[in-house]
Amino acid sequence: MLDGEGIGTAIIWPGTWFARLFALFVRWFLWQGKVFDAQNGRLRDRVTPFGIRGINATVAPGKSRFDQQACTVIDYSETSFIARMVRDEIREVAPGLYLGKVFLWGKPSIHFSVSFQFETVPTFWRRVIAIACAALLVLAICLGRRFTSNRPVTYDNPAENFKYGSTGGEISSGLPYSLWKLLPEMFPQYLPGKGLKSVGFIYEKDANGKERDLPIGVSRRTYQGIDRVFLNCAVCHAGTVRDTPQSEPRIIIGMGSNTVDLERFQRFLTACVKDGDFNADRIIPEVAKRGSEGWLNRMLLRFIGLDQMRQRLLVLDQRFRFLDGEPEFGPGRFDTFNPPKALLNFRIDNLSAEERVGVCDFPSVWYQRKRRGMWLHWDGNNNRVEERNRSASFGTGATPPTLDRQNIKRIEDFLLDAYPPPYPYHIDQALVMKGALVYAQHCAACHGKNGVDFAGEYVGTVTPIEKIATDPCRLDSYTEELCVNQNLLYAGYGDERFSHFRKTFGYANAPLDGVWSRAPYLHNGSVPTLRDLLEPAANRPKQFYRGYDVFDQIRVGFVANVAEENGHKFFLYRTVYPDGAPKAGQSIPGNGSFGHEGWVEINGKWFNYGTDLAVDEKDALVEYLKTF
Amino acid sequence: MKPSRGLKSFFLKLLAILIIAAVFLGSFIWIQFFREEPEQSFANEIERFKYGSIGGEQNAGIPYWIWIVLPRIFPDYLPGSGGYKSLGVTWEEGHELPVGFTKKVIGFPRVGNNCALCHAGTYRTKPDEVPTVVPGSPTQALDARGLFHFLFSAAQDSRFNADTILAQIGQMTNLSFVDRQLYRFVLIPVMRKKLVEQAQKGAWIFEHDRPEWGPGRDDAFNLPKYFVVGLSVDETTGQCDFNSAWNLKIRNGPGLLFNWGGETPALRSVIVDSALGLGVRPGKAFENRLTELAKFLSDLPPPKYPFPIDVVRANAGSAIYTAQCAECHEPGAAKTSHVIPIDEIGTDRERLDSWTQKAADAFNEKMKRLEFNRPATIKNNGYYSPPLDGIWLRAPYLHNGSVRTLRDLLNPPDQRAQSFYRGYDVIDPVNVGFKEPPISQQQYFLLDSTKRGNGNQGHTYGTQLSDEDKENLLEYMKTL
Repeated sequence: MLDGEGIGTAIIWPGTWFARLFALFVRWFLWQGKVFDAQNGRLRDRVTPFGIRGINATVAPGKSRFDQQACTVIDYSETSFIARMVRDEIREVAPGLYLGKVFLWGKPSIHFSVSFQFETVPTFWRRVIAIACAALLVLAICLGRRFTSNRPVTYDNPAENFKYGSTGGEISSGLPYSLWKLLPEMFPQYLPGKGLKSVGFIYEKDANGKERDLPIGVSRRTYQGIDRVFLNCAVCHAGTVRDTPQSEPRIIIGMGSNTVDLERFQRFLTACVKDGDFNADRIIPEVAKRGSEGWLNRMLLRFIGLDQMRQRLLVLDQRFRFLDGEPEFGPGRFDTFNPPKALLNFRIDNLSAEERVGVCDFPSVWYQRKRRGMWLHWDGNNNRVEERNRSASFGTGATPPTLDRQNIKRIEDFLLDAYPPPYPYHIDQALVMKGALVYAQHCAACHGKNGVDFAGEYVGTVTPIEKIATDPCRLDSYTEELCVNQNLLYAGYGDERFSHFRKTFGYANAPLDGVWSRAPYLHNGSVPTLRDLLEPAANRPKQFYRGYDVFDQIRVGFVANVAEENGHKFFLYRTVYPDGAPKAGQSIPGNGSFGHEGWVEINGKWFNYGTDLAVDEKDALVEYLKTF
Repeated sequence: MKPSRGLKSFFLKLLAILIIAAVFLGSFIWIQFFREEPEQSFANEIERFKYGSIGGEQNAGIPYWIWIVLPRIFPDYLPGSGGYKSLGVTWEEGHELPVGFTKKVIGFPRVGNNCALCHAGTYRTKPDEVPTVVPGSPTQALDARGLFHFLFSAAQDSRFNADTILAQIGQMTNLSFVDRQLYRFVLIPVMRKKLVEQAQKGAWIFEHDRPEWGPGRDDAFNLPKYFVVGLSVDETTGQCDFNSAWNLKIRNGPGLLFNWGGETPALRSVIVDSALGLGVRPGKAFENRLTELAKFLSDLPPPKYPFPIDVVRANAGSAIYTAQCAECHEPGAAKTSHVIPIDEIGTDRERLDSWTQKAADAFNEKMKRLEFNRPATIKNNGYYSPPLDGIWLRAPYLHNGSVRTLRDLLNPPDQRAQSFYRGYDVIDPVNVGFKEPPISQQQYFLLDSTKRGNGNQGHTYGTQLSDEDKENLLEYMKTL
């Protein structure tokens, strides 16, 4: 009678490579052998990866169903519930080696062998190996989940989502959250003041009056296990207004940002990664000290993340060389259409002289539903809101494969009907009545009936550059070459592919919703107040300060003569080269404050840009514009 | 015989598995590499002419994603900023591909070319204007040599590798795992190999004593001589203008010739020989497309002159045209679309000499072997005299595009501009032709008529006319 433990091997398709694989699989994970108890005529199988003894069967000599000859029958039907349909037959085919056949529900199925020729692996080691395997498996699953993780921080409130929600930009362009926090502290010498506030990021206060961790316009997402942050729409499309230097800022979402200086921000990041101290030995201990990353992430940062970040920013710096040829942007401005050339890897050194300067103001983004079908962007080069949005999303780091389509849709929907806050200060209603008449006569055809009704013959169309005569740089920076190459952006994504860009030869007539908060004025933000815009170009300020958010209720715009407040220096905007410079008195390309003045003939009708109105008419017009 | 039965059943099983595997593998390969998806539908025949396949993608197509990212990886091999646009292709706003580029899925999406690459140019009436695309007009801005240079240089550059290309593609789209492997192990290496082969065959284009083609020209008969026939490279250079391809009904007929040297005796041959260079192979599909194209191009009207015309002057000019030009250029006239002997016409003979009887015979032989059925190419000893329909948009003039404007062509050769810029598309209504580009935009090609094959001599007809007569003749030619 059989006694003791035999090593089991499952057999199917003997002689093929598959048989070995199958046998190994069964041995490792399912069944290791049979432990016979001769005394009681029973056996138990070793099953599961841990080699547990389970599943009882009776062992008795019998007649084989296969060939009606003598064999040993192992019967589970009486002793085991799970295996009650199983009957095994074994027969010795060599000394100590038994060949077996399994019958399920009485039908022959696979074969197996039980061998007493070798000593069995001690149970202890078998378990150690099995546990190690299981641990590895669990680890693999955990790591797999970790490195495929992609979870943005989400916000239910649409306005919060606009301010802090993700466009997907963190995936390919994000900075590790820990470094976002660390860099301003570690490299304060590259910032004009304390923290990112000094380059104009707006930090809201939470319900407890405590400053929020991340500023407006910065979103957060865990991707591949690393917490990352990057910019979103609100970084350029939210701003602040203060009533007096002592007041709390009113945060206005949807207005063009008036404080954030992205050029300086970018230069700050580049300076950090170029600094000799930007190395793992200096940075990782600092990260560890703050406890914001676990051990694994610190290792990843040390060996991959920091290098990757440096590479990425250096490539960006290289591709953004066109910035060097442009006037400094200052807060509230950026170049919209040279970055896509960099993205498409155009040869920057080959760009023609007239297309190199493309600086312009951040526009407001309210009432998008009413803007459907209008020619959008300063030069009116696209008439699809969604396409324009995807185009702008490149600026937040979101590429076709990484764009968070679901959240972009939410942001888009929010902006369809978002509206500007009413003018927060006193309005002289009598003056408004007078101003409305002036507006209707000279402005409405191009800028819409009023702040909510955008009806007007020329609203959303392009006025030729000869007629508007404002600074041509932004217009010229958008070229036919770029236009047709943009047709390949979002290729492979069906209708998302860009197909509505066009080259124009003028600037678009935009509706004036919330115009009081959209200072400084003109596409390049070269005129500080509405009242200044109504002056002939020669009388408009040649220089003023940008970035200060205290409101000028008389001239309508931001107070533009404050150079510094509590150590924060504001940006001196010049429209012409200063005295003593080589081209003193000449207009700085991109910064010119000329145009939008005098009389203009459009289809046989004459309009005045407002510069030739009487003083009281100008005042009335400004008063009326406050109601927008 | 039990054991042998077991063996037999084993082999049977094995066979079954192999067959199933082969079927799977076969369909996988078929789906990934050969399955043709029907082309997008086109709104009209003009759109189809501009963007429709003529069947060259299988042989000469570039995998779509490689085509997209090449200019981004190799901007240094392009003549300027702006991706393919910098090569002077016609590219309409909103369109995924430039005119003359086709997209077809044969297993995977591929980008090929069609006739419109060289025969759909643009013009502007003023600089601040979106260019008007004219199907059938010579693509006078297309830098074909630059396109060759770009593709050949890229293929021979170490950056043409799977890592670089896939990384760039990854910024544009998410390829599936399978597609990534296909690109990595098949499409990218195969494309590179093909292009490198082409680059070796095409090395002659860049040999330094051959003048650059510049925009709007190619070496029309050296291309088949070396690329198709494989004759050994000789000294000749034959750079010449792309021709207009509209209104071909007035050019087609018994005895009427095509191509500058009158090498091609039938419309069918022109289309076949040109399509061959774009990778087309004979077959029913091409035969159908050929018939459609022949009809389309025969009926395609020449474009109307976009500025006002002085009718009085034009009428006066009409008489001069009849007296001086009609004999050789009026459709149906005895010498129109016939070869004028080189001694008589006196223009630059290099283009003519680039084609020989030997080359013609070898080419015809080769075409027969490729099973293309078309009237054979011939060798002539002069340049043909085409009709002048839409001549205002066919500048620069003469076969080698060496004369900037029609007015200049009416000047004696020594008074014609010796050099001028090509590739600018703003119409010059005074001299009839294209304007000189503004100084700041002289990334355009300077044609130097003292270089080989660029000579602007000959065709002195009309040079003796009075200024008044010339003025009138010019005005009349705007109406053609």
